[in-house]
Amino acid sequence: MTLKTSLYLFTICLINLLSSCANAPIIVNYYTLDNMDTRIKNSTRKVINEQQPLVLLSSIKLADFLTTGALVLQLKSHQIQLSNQHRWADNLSETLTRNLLTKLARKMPNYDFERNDLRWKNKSQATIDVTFEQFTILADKNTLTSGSFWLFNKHNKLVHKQSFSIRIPLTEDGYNHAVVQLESSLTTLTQQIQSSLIFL
Amino acid sequence: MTLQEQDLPKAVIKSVSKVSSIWLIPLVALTIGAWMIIDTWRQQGPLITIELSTAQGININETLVKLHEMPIGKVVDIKLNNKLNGVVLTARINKKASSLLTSDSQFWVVKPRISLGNISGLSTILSGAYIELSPGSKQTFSSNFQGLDNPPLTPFGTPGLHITLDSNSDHAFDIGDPVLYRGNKVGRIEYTHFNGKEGKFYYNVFIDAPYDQLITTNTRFWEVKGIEIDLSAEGLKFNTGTLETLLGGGVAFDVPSYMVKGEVITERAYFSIYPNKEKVNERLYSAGQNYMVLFSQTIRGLKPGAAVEYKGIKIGEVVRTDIDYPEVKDFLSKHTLLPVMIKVSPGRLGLQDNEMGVYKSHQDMKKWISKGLHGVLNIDNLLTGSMYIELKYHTIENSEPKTYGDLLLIPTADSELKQLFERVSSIVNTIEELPFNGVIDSANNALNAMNTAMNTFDSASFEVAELLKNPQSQALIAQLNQTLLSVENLTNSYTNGSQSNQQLNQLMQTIEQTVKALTPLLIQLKMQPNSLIFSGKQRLELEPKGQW
Repeated sequence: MTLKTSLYLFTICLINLLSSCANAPIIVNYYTLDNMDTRIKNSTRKVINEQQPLVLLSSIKLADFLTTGALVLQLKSHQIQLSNQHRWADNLSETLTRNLLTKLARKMPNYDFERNDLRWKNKSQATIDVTFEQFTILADKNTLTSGSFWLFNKHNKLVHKQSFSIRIPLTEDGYNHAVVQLESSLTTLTQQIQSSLIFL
Repeated sequence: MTLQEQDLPKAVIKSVSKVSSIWLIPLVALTIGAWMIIDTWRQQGPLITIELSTAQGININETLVKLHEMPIGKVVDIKLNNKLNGVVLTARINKKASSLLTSDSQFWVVKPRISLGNISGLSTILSGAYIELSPGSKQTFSSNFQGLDNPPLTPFGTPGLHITLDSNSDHAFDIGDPVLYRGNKVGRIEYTHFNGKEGKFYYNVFIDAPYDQLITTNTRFWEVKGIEIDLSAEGLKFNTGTLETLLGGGVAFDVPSYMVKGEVITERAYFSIYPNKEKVNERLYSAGQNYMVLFSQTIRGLKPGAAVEYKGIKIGEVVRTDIDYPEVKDFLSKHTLLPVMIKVSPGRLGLQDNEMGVYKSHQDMKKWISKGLHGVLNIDNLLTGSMYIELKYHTIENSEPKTYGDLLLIPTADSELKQLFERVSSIVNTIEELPFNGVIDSANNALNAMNTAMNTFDSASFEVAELLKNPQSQALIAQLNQTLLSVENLTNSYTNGSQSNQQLNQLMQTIEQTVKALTPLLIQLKMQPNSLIFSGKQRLELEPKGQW
């Protein structure tokens, strides 16, 4: 056996050894707020009607710990777990904005809702700013969605400010059900925003 | 008797009728004629007489009497009246229309008429004048009537309300002048009467329905003049009414803004006409107490009606500015004071607008005067020179209040304008005493320094210009321009929508996705650095739990 053959065999053995010692691959689960079963069915957006009042929704602002992409589980009063294996598939601010826009448009067909964009600025009757402080799963078997929203009129004058805190109980184990409950809390938030439009 | 006499037949003697039957014909004709006369007499209506001032345009057996343009009679005779100052027409009215001849029926001649507010009867230019009847409401029959010189402005039976207005204004209204509600003609003056004893004009006015519902117990009427120009301290006000009021004026009405609408008037009521709308909106105060104020300076511009104010609020007005008082004996004397009578309304002082309020305010006035209340003559409007009296407190307290005649005397003080002149005079004196020479020297020095600085700046500018003329400097500027152009091109290539921008965005997205994918691995490596090579226990993550 030559030196070259010996060296070759040693390398193969080393690779085999290291492979057998290596850890199992990390399994990561990704979640989205949109129900994938109904997303395609409801994806058609209506054309903007010039006669209807246009309301703009600014990009949703999140507390820092919600921007990591990890699903957040609150363990104790001041302790949270940022899950390494259960993560949001999209940018959470982006997916929350999109989801709220869809819900608002469905809830109030007499209004047009768009993202706060310079293109719509001159045509809009109102602007809504939303900030989320909590969008977390609680160890006490609930989900908590909290924050505030501000309603500005077309002259950019604040006409209404409201805080929200929505708790929804978890009826099943696991992150998927928790995400479903978090998504349903946005429906409640949509109703609160709808009620506030009377201040315009 | 002879035989011949016996053979001859004897004549039958018959009596002959004395009246021939031929006479029946004229008899029947007479009967028919008489029946026709009686029938005609029975069918024809009554004869009436109408007394008019003139018979202009009226002809016997031609001029018709009409009701709603329908002939109901004809003029059959014209003669002068007993006083020879008018004519009496005799007209035959159809029997069917005789029921319209009541004691309050009205007759007038319809002929072409042109006035400021109305043009009527133009159709009679071709057809000729006729007499129009306006039926009355009474039941008593009449055959003698006094004709109207002009057609009644309001036809009989027109729904609405009759009211009476009085005015002691210089302007008198005429029959037919409009009554306006917010610029809309809703009525007219029907009758004017001057009461010599009261010196007032009285006007009978008719308000058309449904505007008669606007006439309430607290409705106010005011004069609307064609053009109103008001020059005051607030500027020039220029108001015009409708075209009709522009020519002849009119009367407008409304409920003052500070009042709640009162009860609707249903029967003839009496109202006064205010001079203008501004007076209407002023609350009316009936009670007041007169006081005297004596001024040493000229009172030119102070007229009756001028305001008496306290801290800018009107509390009364000037009543008299003449000198017809027994106390004024030597008017041209240097020390003669000019008396001005003012009236203070207790209602304007927050007291009751009655005798009780007058008593209370008068008692208070004595107290205020002793505490230093003075009257000051102030200029109201610099353009017109009008003046007003202001009551204000001075530091000098007055002694026991005095009287002028039988009225309480309010002491006076110098006006602020006079005080201002004194202050200005004092300032001028102070300025005169200022050391101007020293100041001028200092200013000269400062100007010299500034001149030197300007020269230095001029020199520096010249040097900069020379520098820019240098070829090397120009090459440097050209190079700078080239660099800026390159920067601009570079910026354009990265502007939104450019290819470079898209590529950059794609790259950023790829990096973001990669980082996102690597994040769990990085976190695991951070927690267990050797986990990539050596198997280890994975950290257990807690899972959410359901309530059931």
